[in-house]
Amino acid sequence: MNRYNYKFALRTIYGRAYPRIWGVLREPSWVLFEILLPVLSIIAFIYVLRSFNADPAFEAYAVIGGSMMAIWFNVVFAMALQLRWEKDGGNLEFYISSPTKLSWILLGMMVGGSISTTSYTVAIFSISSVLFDTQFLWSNWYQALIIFISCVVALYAIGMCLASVFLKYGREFEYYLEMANEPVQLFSGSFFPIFSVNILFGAIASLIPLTLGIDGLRQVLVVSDYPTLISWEVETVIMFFYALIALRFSKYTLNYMEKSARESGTLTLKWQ
Amino acid sequence: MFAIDAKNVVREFKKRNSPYKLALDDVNIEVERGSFYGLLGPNGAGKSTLIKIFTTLLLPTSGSVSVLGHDVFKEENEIRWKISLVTGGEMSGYGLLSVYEQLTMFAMFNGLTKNEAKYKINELLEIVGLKDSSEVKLNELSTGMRQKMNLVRGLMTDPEILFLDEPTLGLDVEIALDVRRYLKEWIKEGNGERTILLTTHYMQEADDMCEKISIIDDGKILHTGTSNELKNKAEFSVKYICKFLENIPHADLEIFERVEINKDTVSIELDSDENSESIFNSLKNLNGIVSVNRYEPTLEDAFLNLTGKKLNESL
Amino acid sequence: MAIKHRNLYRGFISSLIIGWRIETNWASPINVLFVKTIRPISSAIILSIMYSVASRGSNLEDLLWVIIGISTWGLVQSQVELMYWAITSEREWLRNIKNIILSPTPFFIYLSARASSGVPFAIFSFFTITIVSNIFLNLNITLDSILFYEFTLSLVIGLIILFFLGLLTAGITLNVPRTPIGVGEAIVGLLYLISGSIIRPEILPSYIQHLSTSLPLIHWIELVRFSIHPVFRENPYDWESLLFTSIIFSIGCFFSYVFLFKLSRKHGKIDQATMY
Repeated sequence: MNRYNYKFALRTIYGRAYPRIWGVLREPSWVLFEILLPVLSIIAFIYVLRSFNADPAFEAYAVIGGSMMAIWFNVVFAMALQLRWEKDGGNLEFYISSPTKLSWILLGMMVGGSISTTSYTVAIFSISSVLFDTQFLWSNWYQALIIFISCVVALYAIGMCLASVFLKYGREFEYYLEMANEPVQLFSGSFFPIFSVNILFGAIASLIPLTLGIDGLRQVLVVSDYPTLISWEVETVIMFFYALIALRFSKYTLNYMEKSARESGTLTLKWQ
Repeated sequence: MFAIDAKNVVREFKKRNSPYKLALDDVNIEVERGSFYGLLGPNGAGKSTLIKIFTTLLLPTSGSVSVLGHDVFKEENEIRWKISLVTGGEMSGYGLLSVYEQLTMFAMFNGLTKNEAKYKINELLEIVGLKDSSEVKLNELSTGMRQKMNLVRGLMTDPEILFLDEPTLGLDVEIALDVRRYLKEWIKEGNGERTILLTTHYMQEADDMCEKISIIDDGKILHTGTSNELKNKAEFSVKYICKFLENIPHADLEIFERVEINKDTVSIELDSDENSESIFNSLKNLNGIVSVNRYEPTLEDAFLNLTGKKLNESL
Repeated sequence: MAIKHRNLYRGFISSLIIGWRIETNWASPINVLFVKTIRPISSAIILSIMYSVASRGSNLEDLLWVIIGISTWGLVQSQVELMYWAITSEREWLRNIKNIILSPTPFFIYLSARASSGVPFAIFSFFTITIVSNIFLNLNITLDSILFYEFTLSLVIGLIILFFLGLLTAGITLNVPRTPIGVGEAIVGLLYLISGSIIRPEILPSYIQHLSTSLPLIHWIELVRFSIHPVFRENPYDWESLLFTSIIFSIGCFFSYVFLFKLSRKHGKIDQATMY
């Protein structure tokens, strides 16, 4: 009998998703800050746009972009860096020495994380829209939902790959990830339409699924002549493939990184 | 088939900004199935490094290691089904989860169904005396309770080998005794199917619990044997500690080869246990004697003789 | 023999060294420099692109106003962040907070030294954002336009204000072990909106305006603007407001910190780790 069957996988995923979902609810202040801080960031950018005398449509872009950036931060800190916290907390060695697959544990984190992040993102979006009275095409809600889900899954799948890199490179990698926050904000076009900068710039930036997700949501939700290169349907398909490729790739990166970390000894050394 | 078979194991660490370290130097160990095996050594000896290799967290730089017949290099997944690890001073876990939730999570990682987990966890919590604390959150547990929970986590999958890395570290005497008592019962109930590998720097713990002990220092196995065999490695067979009231009669002590005088106390070490009764009687009759106590060698004495340093000096 | 004297100088230097090493020891020096450079440059480029894409014509004064506000705020963020991060890291990961508090070095000396280790990077970030924005957005900031005396004074006064603000945040962080990072970021984020760095105080509700003008941050950022570009020199600078609010604020923050520190000791929260 194959012990690594779907039941075992589901049990592992459920087991790891459980603290992600219920743990958060036991600390309501976390929910407050997960929502408040991105809202503050959106407020700041909107005022910057107003000082630039920008078209009011840009405020709608900023609300969407700022809300989606919250997912990126969650992916970085709750997925990619999660194994660092697990290592420093002493849990990682028990995950590794248990018979389950590390990729299933990460999937559990992904499931738990995406459920909580989705709720935060919706809250951030709602609060910001009300604060600035931004107008959206709510009739396209189902298209927005499809784009949103594809983007979340794609980003979390990338988070799984990043988590495995951390296994090997530790604290150094954490700093590089934090360094990437501003460039990701830049290239994802979180506060401006990416394709209005330059077509080539936009095309390169489209390598990041977040860019496609933000662009897609703006296309379907914002009432304006929105400059874009790719339709939201194509963007959704691309994100779907990103997710598949990243999930598949993460399996190899996890195995490789784990073996590499076991050889170098970084798997259990704290403060590496 | 041995439970653990390690041959010529070497482990090196080379890190940026840190000096090169040879943590394990040509280590050879054979642990029989069903035995309670101890690794005794000071801090920094390489005990934890060795356990990490056995539990597939670390690969040796060279050498071969098999756990229950499976190679740690290639068959780590097979090994992980059959082992469990409990470390001392362990603060792992999620503070917001209760004891029961935490244990259920790990049960699921080990392939147990929810019902199996429920049954095992409740049974073990009862045994270790944590049943009433099953709903307490981890961040509210004391160190002793936490370690008991860790023990439950290690045992709930009924592993074939239980690795214990300083399991009583930081525990108070009563709880440490409870833990040791339970472990001895657990291995006995296994009828030869359960093996324990314990690492410790507490000599008494190793002496009390382990059938076979390896003394390790500076990454090398110095000697392996039963507790009594190791004690025979001490420099002496019997030691007398004599306390005097006033002047020590040096002339009367000249017949003994190894005598150490410290203020009013004299320590006399003998290579042989023969004539110990007559020696004891003659000591009792020395001028100014207050007390005479007889000591047999301990593992610490064996360690001192093998390494030239005391167990707690080796840092 | 118990140590009889408070260990101010040696404690400060040791804390400064450890703060510097924590900030820089995780990679080779070149990589550290690269990371410390790329972030402010990216921020400046984001602003420049936003302006070029979104602007329908903005006057120079408005643009300058916002850019200087943003680059100055980088200083605020990094200094305050370093203080509450020092507490969080010592509690959660380094597990050293008890030993530091028990040592003869006062804890606030340790915190200020840890924060000071980040000053070079914070100032570097400020200059990077300002210079890069100046190049891309033609802000017309020249060396001739800068009042160096006032500018230097603004940096010194700013760092002092930020030290006390950091202490206040540190005191709050000591009392909220479960959400240390969230609270610190929220404080900085809220101040960002009301301190005249990106939002003109005139458009805020009157009660927030009163709060804003009673804090020294708004006056300090005005001084930075005043010293950098002549377009902000229509009226003489109001030194009295800056000095008065700075002194009151600093004293208030210090005593609040002392109170909060005692409170956290009373409730046993100093070394309470979260272990999430």
